Amino acid sequence: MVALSRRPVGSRRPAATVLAAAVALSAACGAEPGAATDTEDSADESRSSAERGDAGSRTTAPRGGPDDARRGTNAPSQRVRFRPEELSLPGGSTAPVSPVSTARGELVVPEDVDRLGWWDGGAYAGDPFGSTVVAGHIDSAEQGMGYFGQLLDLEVGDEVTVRGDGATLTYRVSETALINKDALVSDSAAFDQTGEHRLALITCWGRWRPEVSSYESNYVVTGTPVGLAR
Amino acid sequence: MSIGRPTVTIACGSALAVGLAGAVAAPATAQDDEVTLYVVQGLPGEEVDVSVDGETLAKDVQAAEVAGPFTVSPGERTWTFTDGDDEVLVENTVSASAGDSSDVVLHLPADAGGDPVLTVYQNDLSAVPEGKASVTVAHTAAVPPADIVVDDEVLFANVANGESLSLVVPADTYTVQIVPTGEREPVLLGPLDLPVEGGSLNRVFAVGAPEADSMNVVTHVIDVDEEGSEKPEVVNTGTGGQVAALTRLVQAFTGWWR
Repeated sequence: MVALSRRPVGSRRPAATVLAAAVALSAACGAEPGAATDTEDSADESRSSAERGDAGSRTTAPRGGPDDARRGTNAPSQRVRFRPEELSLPGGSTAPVSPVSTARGELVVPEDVDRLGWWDGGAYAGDPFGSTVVAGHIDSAEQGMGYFGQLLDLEVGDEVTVRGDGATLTYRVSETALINKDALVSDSAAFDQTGEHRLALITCWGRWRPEVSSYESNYVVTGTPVGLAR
Repeated sequence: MSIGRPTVTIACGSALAVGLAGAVAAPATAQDDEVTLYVVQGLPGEEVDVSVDGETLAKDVQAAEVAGPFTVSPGERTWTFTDGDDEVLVENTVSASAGDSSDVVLHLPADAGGDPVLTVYQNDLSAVPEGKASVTVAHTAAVPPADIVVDDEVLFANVANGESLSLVVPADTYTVQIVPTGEREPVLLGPLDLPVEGGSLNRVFAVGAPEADSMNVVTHVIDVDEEGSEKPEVVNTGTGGQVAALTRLVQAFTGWWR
């Protein structure tokens, strides 16, 4: 006996509007075949239709009953994405990374200066768009120098590796910047979730202001992914 | 050249209310002890009836429509799809576990001349970061393995009939076209615009056959939770001043300044 019921669906999306817009935009778009860039994926994982047609296989049920329905599977080129759990800088030194949140407008970075925090509102490593943000202390009054003091030594072209969930992705440093703290979110793309995927490493730097025990600026190292996460 | 002008059908789960008298209102989230299933009708030109273990689930489901959600109890069921003349198009068993959410897709095989097939895709209802969405593109059309080009970049590479690929992307409207794997033409479908809203799983099914000029897209949107915190206004990551002191020391001896 099958218990069947139809459940109403929350229709917060204006389906008719979406449809109209999609049709209108589709009609307005001219096809531009061949205008786009190549992909590293399709080249090395290319399979001809002769090699493989349909994915999966259907198995025969016992006693002559109907076959099992096919199970939809991930294509082999499915991207790997992961939350960073560990980060390595050139020279091999490694620091653990844990998820951190924003509280009352401030990113709550681990107190331990040997640990790093991955902003939980940002991209996972390996996502196609947006910034993966990892922040850590340059120093602290109690613990002294922090792991991310090494960011000051990074130069364009250096490689930074993040790992998590059994996967790895290396980024190549493309830019280093000293940005006033007030402008970090408004005037930099460090936290932006649009545009090409990138890694933003953030610590504090600039003029030391002893009256508030704080640096005046943030030091931001941006890296672009070298290939895909594996 | 694009083969034919594609029509875009965005079908939400609520678009279809067929055949089930005494429908019971229930919470929109899946109960742990039941199975949530949607029927995706990917056979061009067919109007189908769907029954499960002999009991009618939905009638007159049009091409490119999404019917459901339906709930069934866990276990193995026999699904039968019949056309307007009560001829059986497909009959398969579908096994599901408690808590599952799946799309049961009736579609053409890779070879347009073959019999229709039924493919069951699991819906990944994982939370997404605020302002982002999951997009899954499934190949259920009568074409060889294909690349899906998004905003002029191959984001879903080499997908074969019966396979799918998933990404998490920021909410936006993306331009999508489907091309043979490793090629840029002929364009099998598109370019078409895919609007994606935050906090949603967007399941995009390519259906139909280019030879029959019936290539189409069925989009099935399911709300999912949002996770993660908002952008901070400030990042404070230095309270000691040791690095500043050290730098001053080095500077004093060497005249170095970074």
